[in-house]
This record gives sequence, C-alpha cells and structure tokens, in this order.
Amino acid sequence: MSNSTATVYFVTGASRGIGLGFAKQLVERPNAVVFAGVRNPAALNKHFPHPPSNFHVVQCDVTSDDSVSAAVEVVSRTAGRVDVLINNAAIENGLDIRDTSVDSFRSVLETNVVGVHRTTRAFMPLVLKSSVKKVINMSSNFGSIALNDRSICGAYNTSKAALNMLTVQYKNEYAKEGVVFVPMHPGDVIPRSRGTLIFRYLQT
Amino acid sequence: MNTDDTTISTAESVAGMMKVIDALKITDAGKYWTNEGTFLPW
Repeated sequence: MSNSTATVYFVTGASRGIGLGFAKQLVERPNAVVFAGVRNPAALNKHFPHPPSNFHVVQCDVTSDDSVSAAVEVVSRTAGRVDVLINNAAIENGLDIRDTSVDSFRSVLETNVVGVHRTTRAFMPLVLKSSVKKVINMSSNFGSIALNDRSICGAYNTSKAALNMLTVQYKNEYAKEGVVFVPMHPGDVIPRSRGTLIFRYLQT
Repeated sequence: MNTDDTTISTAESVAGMMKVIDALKITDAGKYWTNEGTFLPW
C-alpha cells in the first residue's frame, strides 16, 4: 500500500458511539488510512457492509497485552506507522461510587486508564515513525475535578481524571520527540442528568 | 459542564473534534481540549 502521503489513524473502541463516529467520518476523508480497533470485529460488519480499501478492522482489546501486541503487528505490517492514535475505548458501570464494588471499580480503571497506557506504550514505536505524531485520549468533562460538583458515575469520573494526568505524563516525556498528547472532551453527547442511564449501554 | 441536558449528536461531536485534531500543534500538547476548540479547567 502506498500511503506515504496518507494520514494513518488508529481508533480504539470503534464499534459504537464516538469511536464508530470517528471511523465513519475518517474513512470518508481522501488520503486517510483508518484502522478501527474493536474487541469483536464482526460488530462492525453492519456499519461497513462494503468496507473501502482504506479501512481496516483490527481486533484490539485494550485490556489484553496479547491483543494489543497483535494489533500493533497488523498496523506495522500494513501501514508501518500511526500518524494519529485515538484512545477512545472506555467502559462505565452505571453506578454511584458507594454502590461500586472493588472489582467493578478495578474493571473501569483497567479499561479506561490501564488500557490507554497499554495501548499507547505498545503503539509508540509506530507513532514515532510518523511526522504527524498525535495521540488523542478521549476524556470527558466528567474527569474535571474543578467542574465535578455532582457525583454520578463515580468510577468513570475517577478514571477520566486519572487519564488526564496520564496524558500529561506522556506529554511531558515525549515533548522533545514532538508528540502531541491531548486529553479531549467530546462535547455534551450525554445528557448529564441521564448520564448513568445512557452510560449503561457501553457495558456489554 | 452540561447542566441543562442540551446535547449534540455523535456526528457533530466527532466533526468538531476532527477539526481540533487536524489543527493541533506541539504547543497545544497537554491542554484539556474540547470538541469546540476551547479548554476545560482541570
């Protein structure tokens, strides 16, 4: 594949929600090569019945070292670099913090924080081969300590605050290599009062 | 923060973020960006 002038994107959690939204819009761009990381590749079939040649579905479970390593291998073989890494995969347990078991808390942080570290760390060699070098960590205003005056989705909010700090650590360490790390709030796609309810669908 | 339940569509959110991502420079690193190209307080 000739993609020296293309922009290579890797998006995690691309089977629904914002990740799917990225996949759908990026694939429409001229000169984009899009890798959609999903736990279950079959989940994307209905959204892309006739996948264009610049679209690649990659099995990528951010909670698994083996799965992430295999995804890196596929992207390395196919494109040789990642220009823009979008760490979007996340879960939510739909619970107040007082009702959140330790196991559930751990599970949310495993995907939303550890998963981003796992994915970023594994993909950095491919990001460093790019001349673009952008890493977008999907955060949320729910992760803002300054703005958080109402506790719903306590584990999720905690995970996004931790993700913000993780992003800053990466940014500090990779500034001299020219990598642009940012946490990003997607906008108010979730009505605040219904946040818990709507988040539940993420947890399948 | 969203206090009035006003929401945007996923497509609108993503379109905004892609515009922000396209324009990111190294001096923009480590800021708490929004889909509208503004910043949030930590």
